[in-house]
Amino acid sequence: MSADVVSSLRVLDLHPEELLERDALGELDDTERARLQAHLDRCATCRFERQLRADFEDEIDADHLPMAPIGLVADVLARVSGPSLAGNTREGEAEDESDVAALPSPLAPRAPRSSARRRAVRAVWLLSAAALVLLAGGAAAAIGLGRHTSLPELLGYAPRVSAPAAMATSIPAPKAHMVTAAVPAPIETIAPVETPAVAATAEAPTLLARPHREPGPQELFDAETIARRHGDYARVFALHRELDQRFPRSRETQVSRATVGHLLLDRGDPAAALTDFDSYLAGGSGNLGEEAMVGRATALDRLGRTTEASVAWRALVAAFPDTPYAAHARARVETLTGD
Amino acid sequence: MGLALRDERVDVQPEASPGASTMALARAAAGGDSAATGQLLRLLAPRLSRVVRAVLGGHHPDVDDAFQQSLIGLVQALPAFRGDCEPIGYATIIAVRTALAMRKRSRIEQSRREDDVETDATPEPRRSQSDEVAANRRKEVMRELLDLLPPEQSEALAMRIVLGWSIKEIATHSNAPLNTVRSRLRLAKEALKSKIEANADLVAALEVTS
Repeated sequence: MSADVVSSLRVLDLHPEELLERDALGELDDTERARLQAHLDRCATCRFERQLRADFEDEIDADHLPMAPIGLVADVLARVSGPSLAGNTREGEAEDESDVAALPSPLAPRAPRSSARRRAVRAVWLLSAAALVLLAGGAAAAIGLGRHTSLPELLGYAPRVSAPAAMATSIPAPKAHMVTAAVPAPIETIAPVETPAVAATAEAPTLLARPHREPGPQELFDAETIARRHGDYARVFALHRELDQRFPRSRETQVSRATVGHLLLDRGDPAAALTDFDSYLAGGSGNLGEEAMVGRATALDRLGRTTEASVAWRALVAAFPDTPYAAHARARVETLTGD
Repeated sequence: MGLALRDERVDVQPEASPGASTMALARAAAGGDSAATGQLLRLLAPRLSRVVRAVLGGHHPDVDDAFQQSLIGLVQALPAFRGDCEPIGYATIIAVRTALAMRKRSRIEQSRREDDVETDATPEPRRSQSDEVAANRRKEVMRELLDLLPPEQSEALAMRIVLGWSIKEIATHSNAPLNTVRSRLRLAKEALKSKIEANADLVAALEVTS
């Protein structure tokens, strides 16, 4: 085998991965640096990789880069815990029977699935989340959970995700070296797919057979969640207003205030966001209290109400000393007060 | 949701958390403590958001969905967490896998919808003096390649290049032997080489010559 062929094989098959790693860490000595450079001179792939690693390093590790998308986090917290955990106490409206406690939550004790009503009022999105849990646990049979038939009407369009039409994509959880006995089951993510027309058709007779009734807070909340995922913000705000007007003290409305508040903040309306955060916090404590306080302080900050913003940031740290936003809160107080 | 909107909302940066407290939170969350779960999600969210954006690209329409699904995936996987690795690594793997899966799915759906559309409809900058433009172009090439590779290879390549992990770290987090990781990376890099070489314009734009 000629020297040229050997050299070629080295370039193709023996990329000096360890040298590249140590180069990224700045640990190469002169000899190693020369060896790496000799390879790089001949290997476009490794040159490209080296450039790419530097490109992505800025995106992944830089402290100044993207900040916490707190609205999305609040939304997830609301979803995974459900209004029953994320919200507050509510008064006895007629729709209280809608069972938010039955929302599938990995954080809450699994509710017995004996009630047909419970099965009937779950959100499409949360149904997908339920599928995540159930499929992961090998309980795929539970996919038969229904969704409320009035949802398309509430949404004004077909839900983007529906369990019966869903295509499961397996995303294996980290395996495990960290799991001694039980390897984590694959996480099944429900792919967003358009609901086939046939699904709506199949439900039509049921729709016709049922007497019309006004949607309850659970249905409105579900529809709001799905509209948000579609980016249909006008619909989100309309449903939120309806929730707020018709069920001002429901748990769903409380959760909606926190999540919509952040959405309003994101969309450049801190005044409206502040109203929602104030309403949430006036309703008492809830799982999203921290997010609501961060949102409130941010809204006041953006409105230029510096004194109130400073007080709000202080209140956040006082209420949640371990909050991950503590450093930001202190920095804002320092800036706002000149301390 | 556009990038501009996402960029507007962010003015809160959670502080980094010491590993020990993150581990304690993760263990508590794995045990079913919902408050700890919430706190853990808040702590890890900025990092996961960056990972998802890096893999998908900041302009990808599914960035928010992928980020949220990553958080949900983490919640689902927490009961299996035993504390033998850093929670951030555990969560990062989930975010990478979620983002890769979403990229592939999105690509498939787009190809179904746009069979008749020219594939170069997306404006891609060519030959720019701007470092940022060139970097974005390189990253986009990388992301396109991730769509095409087999899952194990795309995962290994993403961990290697996007996350900057060592081979040992990849092996640890993906529970694969070192040599298997090396093999996956070698194959992925061969695919990367082919992709670069197949496009003379790209070679020039990337300032790489074979």
